[in-house]
Amino acid sequence: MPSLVFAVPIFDKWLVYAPLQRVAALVNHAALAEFPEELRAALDESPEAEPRPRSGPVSPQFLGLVPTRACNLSCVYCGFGATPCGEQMDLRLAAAGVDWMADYSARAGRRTLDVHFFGGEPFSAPDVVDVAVHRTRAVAAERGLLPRLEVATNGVYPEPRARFVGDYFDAVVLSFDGFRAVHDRHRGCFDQVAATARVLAASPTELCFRMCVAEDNVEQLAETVDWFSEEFRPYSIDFEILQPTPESERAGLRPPDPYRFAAHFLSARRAACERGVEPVYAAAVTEEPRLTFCPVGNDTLILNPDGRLSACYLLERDWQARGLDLNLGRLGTDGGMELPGEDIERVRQLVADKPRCQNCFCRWSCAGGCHVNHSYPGCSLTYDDFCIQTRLITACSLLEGLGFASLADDLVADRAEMQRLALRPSDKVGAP
Amino acid sequence: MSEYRAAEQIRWAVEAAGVVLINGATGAATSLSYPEAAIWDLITRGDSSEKIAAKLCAIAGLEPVAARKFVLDTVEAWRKAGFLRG
Repeated sequence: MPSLVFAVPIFDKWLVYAPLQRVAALVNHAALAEFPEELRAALDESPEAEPRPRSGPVSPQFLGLVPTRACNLSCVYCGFGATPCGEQMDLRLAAAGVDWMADYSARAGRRTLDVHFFGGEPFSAPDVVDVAVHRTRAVAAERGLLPRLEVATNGVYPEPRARFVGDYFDAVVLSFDGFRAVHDRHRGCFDQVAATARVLAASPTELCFRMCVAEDNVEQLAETVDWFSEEFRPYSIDFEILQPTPESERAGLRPPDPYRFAAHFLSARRAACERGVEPVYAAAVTEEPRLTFCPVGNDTLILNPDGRLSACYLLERDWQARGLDLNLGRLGTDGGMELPGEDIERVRQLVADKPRCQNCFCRWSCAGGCHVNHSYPGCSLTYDDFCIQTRLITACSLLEGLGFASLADDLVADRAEMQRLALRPSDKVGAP
Repeated sequence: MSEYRAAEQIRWAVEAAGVVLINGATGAATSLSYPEAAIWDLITRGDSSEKIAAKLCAIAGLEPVAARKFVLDTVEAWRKAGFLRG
C-alpha cells in the first residue's frame, strides 16, 4: 500500500486522495481494501517529490513593505494595536528595499519586480507609498523588469488617493466585510469603503475583497457574494475567519462555528463561480503540494519601518509570544543588507515541523495554516476549528472536482457526517 | 513657485514604464518616462513643488538642490508645452 495515500469517509463511500500523485477518487469500502486496477495504476505513477524546505541562496517571491504600523481605523477585531500615529518608514529605507529587490530580480533572471504593501494601513504613510511605488516603477523600467505592485488596504481615504491606487497597483486587497450593518459593526466607514471599491472596480487593478467571517455574518456569505459581485465586480473574494483577539472578545465578536462556515462557504463559492468571481479560502488550495500557505518559509522578505527584515507581516510581539523568531535580517537606509544565512535556514526549517498535520489529508494543501496563530511550536495535536473547516472544505472541493457536487451538498447538510470526517485522527490509508 | 494642475485638454494613462499624456484637442501623445512620470503623478494629485522635490530625492536618488531644480525645470517645460495650467 503506498504510504502517502489518504482516505476520508463520505457516507458509505471513501474519498481517496494522493496529493503527490494528484489523484482523487470516490470508492466503496471494498475498493478501499483493494484498489481497483485503474486507481492502482494511477497511484503507481511516479509521485511528485514530497515538498521540502527551500535550500540554496535566498530567493524571495516578493518584497513586502510595511510603510507604517499606524492605521486610521480601529476595527473591533484588530490585534495590531494600531493607532492613527506611529513610526513611518524612512523614505530612503523604502527606496533601498526596492533597489535590493530590483537587483535580486534582475540577477535571478526574473521578469517582474514584485513589491507588496502591508500595514497597519499603508496609506497612513502616504509619502512612503508614493516613493516606493515610483521607485519600483523607475528601477523596473531601468532594468527591463515589469513592476508588479500589490497592496492590502482598508480603503478609507479620499477619491484622488483611491484613483491613484487603482491606476498604479496591479492588485488591491480591500478589507470589506459585507453589508453595511456587518461592515460598520466590524470596521466602520462603510460608505467610504464602498466608494473606494467603486473607484477601484472602474480601474485596471485586480480587485480582491478580503472578507472577515464571524458568527454574525456567516449566514450571509452567499448573499454577500451576490451583492459584491453585482455592485463591484471584484476579481476575487477571500474568505478569512475572524482570529479571536482580546479586542474582538470585548466587542462580542466570535469566530463562526466551523461546520456552519464550511456549509455556507460552499454556497458562497458556487455563487461566486456563477458570477465569474474567484472565491478563495487560502487553506484549501490543492493545486500544488506545499509546506506553507503564507510568506513564511518562502524566503519572502518583509521590510518593517525600523529596517528589520522578517518572514511574516504580523507583529514581532505576536511571534515571540509563540516562541518564534521570524526575523531574517536588517536593511539600512544606505542599502546595507544583513541577511544571515542561519536565520534564513531557521525559518525555512520551521515550516517542515508540524506534528498535528502528519496524518491529515490536507497536510500539503492547508500546510498547517498560519505559523503564528495556528501551527506554532507546541500547539495542540488535536484538530481545532480551523482544521475542521479546512478538512471539510478540502473534501468538498475534491468531491466537486470529481463531479460529485450533490454529495458535497449532502455532506454539509449532515453535521454528524461532517464530524465523522472532520474529527478522524488519521486519514492515512490503513490507519484505524 | 505657484502650483499647477493638468491643462483641461490633457488626459493621461498610466503605463508600466511611465505615463502617456494625450492632448484631447489635437490627439498628440507624449510619453513621460521616469523620473518625470513621478512628477506628473504627484503634481496632478496636488503635491506642492517642495513636497515633490523631497520625494524625488528618494525616487530618483537626487540631492535636494538637484531635485528641486529638476522639478522646477520640468514643470516650466510642461507649462510651456501646454500640459499644465496655473
